[in-house]
Amino acid sequence: MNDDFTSDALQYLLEEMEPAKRAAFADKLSRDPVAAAAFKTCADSYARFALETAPAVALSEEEHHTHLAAILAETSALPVPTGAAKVVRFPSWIWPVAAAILLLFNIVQGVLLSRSAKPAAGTAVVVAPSDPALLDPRNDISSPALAASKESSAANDPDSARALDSSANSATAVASNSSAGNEPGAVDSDDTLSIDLNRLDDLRHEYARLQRARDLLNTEYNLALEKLTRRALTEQGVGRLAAMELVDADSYARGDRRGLMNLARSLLTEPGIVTADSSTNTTDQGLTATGVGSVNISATDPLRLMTMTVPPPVNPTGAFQSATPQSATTYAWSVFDEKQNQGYLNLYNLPQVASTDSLQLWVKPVDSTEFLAVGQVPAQFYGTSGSLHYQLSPTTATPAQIMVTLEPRTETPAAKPTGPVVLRGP
Amino acid sequence: MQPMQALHKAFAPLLVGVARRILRDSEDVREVVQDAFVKAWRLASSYHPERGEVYSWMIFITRNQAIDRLRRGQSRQALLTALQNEESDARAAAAPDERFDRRDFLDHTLAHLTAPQRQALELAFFTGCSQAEIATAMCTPVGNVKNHLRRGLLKLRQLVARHE
Repeated sequence: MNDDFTSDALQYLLEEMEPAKRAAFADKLSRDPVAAAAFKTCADSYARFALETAPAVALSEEEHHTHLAAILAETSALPVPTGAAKVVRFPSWIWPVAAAILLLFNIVQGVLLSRSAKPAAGTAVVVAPSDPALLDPRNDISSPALAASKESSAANDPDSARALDSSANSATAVASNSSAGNEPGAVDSDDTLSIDLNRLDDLRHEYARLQRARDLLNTEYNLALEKLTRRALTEQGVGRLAAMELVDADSYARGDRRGLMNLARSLLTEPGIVTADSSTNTTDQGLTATGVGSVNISATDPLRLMTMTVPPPVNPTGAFQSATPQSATTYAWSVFDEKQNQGYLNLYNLPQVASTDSLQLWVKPVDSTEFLAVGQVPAQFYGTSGSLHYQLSPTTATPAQIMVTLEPRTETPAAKPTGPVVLRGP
Repeated sequence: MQPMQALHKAFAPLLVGVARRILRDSEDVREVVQDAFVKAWRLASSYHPERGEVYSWMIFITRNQAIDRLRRGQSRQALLTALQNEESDARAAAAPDERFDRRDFLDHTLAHLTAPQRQALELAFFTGCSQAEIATAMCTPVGNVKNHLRRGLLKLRQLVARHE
């Protein structure tokens, strides 16, 4: 061997050779036994030189075991490269059987997952970020409607809320697990098969949980959508005043009205709707002119009187004499300012009420089927007339109905009207 | 005894010695030796008995792992500086071979190498320096370094062949 070979051998051993040259040198070694033998002497002699230059370091038993444990931990998953280890030999027929089992497993898994991905009628399933079902706005977790639904779910069903929280991860897990399960060669032993079966079972439970959460979300979404639709229909004309006449229960049942709406008819742009000027407080002006007792109440704090002006009751009918008949019959009329979400209620000839009872004001928003408690009619109006001003929360829609009922006097208002109806309209 | 246990018991002290000569940090030494065993295990099929004994194959795996780590680390420049200082001290000494002779482990066969040959082989093996860097460390032209390396290795081969 010449000097160049020795230099090349040195560079090869020290990994300082260019990749192409290294490959060529390795090829030469594999083809030329003489070169390989020369290389062997180079490698062995240089290794011996290194050993003699850097003496061996004796390891303690503990060090030996620690090092070996770390090495074994990394090499345990690797195949044993020598024949020293015991090899378990299976009969030759086991492999076709195993292949058939795996194939069957993959088919079952595929069928189950395809069922999982199939949406029910009118609904969509969140299966994976790439699923087209996600294009359905009902599945958009980031949408405000669903965000509200999610909060509601958290309040009503923590389990469903948790399902929502984990749905994205779970969906991804479903997708990844599905793809892993369909990969050829992904399952290559009984243990892996068992693990995959367990995983499949877990996925089935997870899917059922997600379905429940989805159903809940869809229900809440539909309710929210219905509410929004009603709200949108009723709020087409923001800034209008909705006028309403209230009569006693018998008149209400018979459909009798006192014709109070004639008062506003000249101002109506359409039946029941009075054009409002936001800079003008029509009702207050009217009340001041008639000298009726006036009280502000708020739906957010229904039982607390905000202000009270002109307490002495005066028969207001004079103000509406041209439009309303004079009578001792209990009646009322109301105007609601949709822009400010404020209502003005004029009450006439209220009945006397025992000290243990009270008159409660209720409104049924247009987007609701239930009456909401607004507050208590001030006691000074009992047996006489008065007007009150109430404020609904910004999220409450325009009242479609107003009702005054006789309820037991309590510290906290009842959730629903239970007593006899005193006034109801329209 | 499992194959890895046997391999480890036979070679770990040797490989730790080599790695410790290259790396100063004991943790680095431990990791490099472990990595070398794992790599040898994984590349077992690439071992060719006709190209070298198992111990030399393992030693070069360890050496190359250690040099990679050394190159990634910050200590290479410091090591070069230390070697330069060492060389200056050696030149100041009366006999160039004394610093090697002081080592108890030095085999008598190595006495046949000249000091520059030993130094060049040592620097090439234990520092991963290029020939230009070795030339700088030894304050000699690159051509001389190539010559020292080549002739030193040839002499080693002759000595080993004669011994065997």
